[in-house]
Amino acid sequence: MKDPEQIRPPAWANDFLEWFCAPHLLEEIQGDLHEVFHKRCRERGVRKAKILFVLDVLGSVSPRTIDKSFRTNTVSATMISNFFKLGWRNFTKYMSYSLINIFGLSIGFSSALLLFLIIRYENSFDGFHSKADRIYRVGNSYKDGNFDDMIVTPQVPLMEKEYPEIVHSSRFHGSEDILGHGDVYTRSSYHVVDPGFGELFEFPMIAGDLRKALASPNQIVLTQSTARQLFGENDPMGKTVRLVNEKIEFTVAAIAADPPKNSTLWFQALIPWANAPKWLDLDQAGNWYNTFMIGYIEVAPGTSKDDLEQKLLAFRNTHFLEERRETWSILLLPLKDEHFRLSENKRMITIFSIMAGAILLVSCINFTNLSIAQTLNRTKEVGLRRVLGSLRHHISVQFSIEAAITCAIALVFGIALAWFVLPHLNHYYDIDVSINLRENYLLVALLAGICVLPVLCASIGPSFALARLQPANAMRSVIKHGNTGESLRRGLIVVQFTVSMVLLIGTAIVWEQTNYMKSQDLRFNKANVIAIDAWPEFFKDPEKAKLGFLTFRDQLNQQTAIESVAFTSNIPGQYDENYNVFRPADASDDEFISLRQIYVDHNFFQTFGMRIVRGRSFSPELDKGHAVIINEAAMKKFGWTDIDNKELIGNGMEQGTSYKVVGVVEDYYYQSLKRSIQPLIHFYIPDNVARMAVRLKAGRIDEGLDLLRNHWNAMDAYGPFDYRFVDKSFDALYKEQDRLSATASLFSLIAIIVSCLGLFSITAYSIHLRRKEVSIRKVLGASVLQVVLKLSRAYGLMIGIGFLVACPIVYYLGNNFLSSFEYRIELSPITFVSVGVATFLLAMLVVGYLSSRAASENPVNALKEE
Amino acid sequence: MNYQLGNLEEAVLLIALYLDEVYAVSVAEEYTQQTGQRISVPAIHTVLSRLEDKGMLKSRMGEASPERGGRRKRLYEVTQLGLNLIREIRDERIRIWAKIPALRVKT
Repeated sequence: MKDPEQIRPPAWANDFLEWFCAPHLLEEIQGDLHEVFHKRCRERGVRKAKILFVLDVLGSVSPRTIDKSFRTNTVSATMISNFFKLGWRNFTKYMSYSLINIFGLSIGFSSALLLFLIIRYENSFDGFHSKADRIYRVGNSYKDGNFDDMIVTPQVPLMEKEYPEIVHSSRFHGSEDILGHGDVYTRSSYHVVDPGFGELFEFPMIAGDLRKALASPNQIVLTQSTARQLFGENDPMGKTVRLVNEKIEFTVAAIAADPPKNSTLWFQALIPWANAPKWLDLDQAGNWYNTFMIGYIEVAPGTSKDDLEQKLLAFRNTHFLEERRETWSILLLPLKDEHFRLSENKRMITIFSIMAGAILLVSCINFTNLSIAQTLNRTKEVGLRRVLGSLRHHISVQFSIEAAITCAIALVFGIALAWFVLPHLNHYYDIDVSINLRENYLLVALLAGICVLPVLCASIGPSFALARLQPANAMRSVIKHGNTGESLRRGLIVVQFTVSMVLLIGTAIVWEQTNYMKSQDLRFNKANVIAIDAWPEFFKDPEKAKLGFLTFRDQLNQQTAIESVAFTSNIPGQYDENYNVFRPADASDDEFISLRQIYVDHNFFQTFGMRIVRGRSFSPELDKGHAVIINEAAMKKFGWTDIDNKELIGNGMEQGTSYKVVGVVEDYYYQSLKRSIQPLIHFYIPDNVARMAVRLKAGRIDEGLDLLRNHWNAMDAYGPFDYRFVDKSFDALYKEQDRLSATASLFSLIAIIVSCLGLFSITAYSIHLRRKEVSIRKVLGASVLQVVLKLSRAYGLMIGIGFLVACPIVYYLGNNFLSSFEYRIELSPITFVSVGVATFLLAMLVVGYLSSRAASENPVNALKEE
Repeated sequence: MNYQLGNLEEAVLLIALYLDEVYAVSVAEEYTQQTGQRISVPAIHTVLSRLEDKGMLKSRMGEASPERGGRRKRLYEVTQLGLNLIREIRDERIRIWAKIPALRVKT
């Protein structure tokens, strides 16, 4: 080992100490630190000693030790106040430029801020559970690449029991019922959960403890709004609530706040598994066939998802139904990704991030451009300062301070603007975002960051320009204004227009795609169809209600405003991810194919106007239960050319039960056009009163609704008559898409406005500099048009270049965006060209206006000044 | 004159009373030994100079030593004022302690 005395402390830290420290203190401080350093080298090792030395040096920086002369020598207080004064004078002298500058920056700031808030909100989903990183939803993946997020009922508790890696687990099954207290009733959903629910999730509570409440039977947890519906302003704790149809009484043990909007789990009431309704607990307990359960697990810290999935293969091999062991495996879906998986808007977030960056870039470029231009206008001032003894870095400090002031003003305006817009944004996105500076240090850091960025841009630019400036030249005004920094400015304008055009063309593509999807023929008639949730349990006498509904369907008078009524388990646009695997009756066991399934009655296809392309629709006379209708996609998947004598056997169904395929329905779109039409099977259950689809006669909508309302009210329901139009709820599938295109339009509009503002001010500035040239040209006989063309040509060229650069970028991004859609538009050159031409015209309007104004001015005005 | 003393200042002043050679490094080491808490040399620098400002310590430059690369150290000494103050603080504490009935000092 080296002799400790030979080891030296880090040189840079030592130099730093010598640099800042007052000379009269340096000797003792440096001596002490070195002494300690050598001691530490011996006692605690060289590495540690070096680190501690650096910390000591940094710790020594204090007002007491800093060299006083060093402070006064750089920038004095008077100098700073002088900078402020000159900054303000300049600000007012070029008021219009300054305002454009501030306006552009404010918009840039607030846009970036808002986009950032949205992005952060989207990423915050389920993050309020402290163990969110270790929570997974359990699903199944199939050999054919599909997966399902629903599992069989007994799976999750057994997994917890058998695998020590799984610390807690809970099932989460939602159902609808009527909640009653005294004679107050409310239609509400309730979720049955295991005691582990309270361990996994930390939902904000109003009263009581979630864990304790779910630990013992006959206790219910209500959300605040459910509690309010039942109890009004009275305290619900300890009161009795009953599930009317399940006939179970509960004590209210806890009140949860309504689940936050950034939660993927949503509930109105929670009851412990001990009170699970019989149909859930008894009939299906130990049932490894039906997958309709949501299950969450919490794994021990440090457990890898992949490893656990591998280990769970053993679980599958012991417990899963035999025929599933080959083709199924257990899938863990991280809770943190659930929001993006369910809402499919990860792409939207990427687009928003790009936009935030782009808008900030465009407004920073504006700022830099204008600052350079203005600086060059002030060469005389700079020259004078230099002659009077200013150092180059004084000039930089001056310009930085001015930039900082403008930035600060813009930032304040920007935040104010964002503040004003935020409530509308929250409403539009149905989110819950707030600007809270005190609680959000990250936000503050971001704001500081976006504030510093333009300041840097603006002070670096002029510093470059001024570095070459000789004071004498500056004073003599021999600087050619036009050339210094001109190429940089032009380059920046090209960048600005490239970015704006990328955003604009991109937006146009998003619009086209959205409209394309919305205008597609869904291959069923969604107009004038309403959907009603008509579970018999919503009525005080369920049997009577069920009969009443069936009679209503069967004895429909053709004279009324109602054309037809159908009962179905699902309404197009809202089909569950409910799969089962089937094989043809004459095929072997390994030819299973997974199909989505729904349950419909004989009126279903006719009510929705779906076309049966082969065979026939269901008929109450011919079909007694075991009949199915598949869609074309399913037929293709089975590889059939006809359906003569075709029968299907479902996985896990009773031995010997086969379903006769009586018809094939044309592939109709039952989900968003983002995805292809998947194979689908319709089971025939003629009297399954669940959801009711009603086709009303066009023009007699209100009449039909009255008829239905009267029928509903006549049956003594717990809740009021409620309905929704199928076409509207189908449109709701494109909500994310609509939002994306609206937001994209707004922000690309902002980008183009900011760019044009920049173009306006920079053009105005350079034309101002060329006033004499213009006047001389005119005196020598140039026409106004010639002058305008002369002045505008360069800008036209810049925008042309911008367009050429933008095209390949958009082409790449656009294809990338569209690739996620199953049914998509082709990128057409018309979109590109029309946006390009529009931008060009807009820019030329700006430039043309300014140059024609300059060109039509009386030459004398410009020439007489010297 | 400010006669208020912070905890750290009081401890440093006490240590300065009995050390042979009172300077930042020795005080920092003694402090660590007595209290078990690590403290950085710059922190001691600040305390020492603050105590000097308050008139409780006076200082002079000492001898150069080789382990400091030939640099001299600043040596401190407690002034009469410092001694009086620290005594006063001690007496005050004792008076207050005396007020506590024996009964109350239960564990």
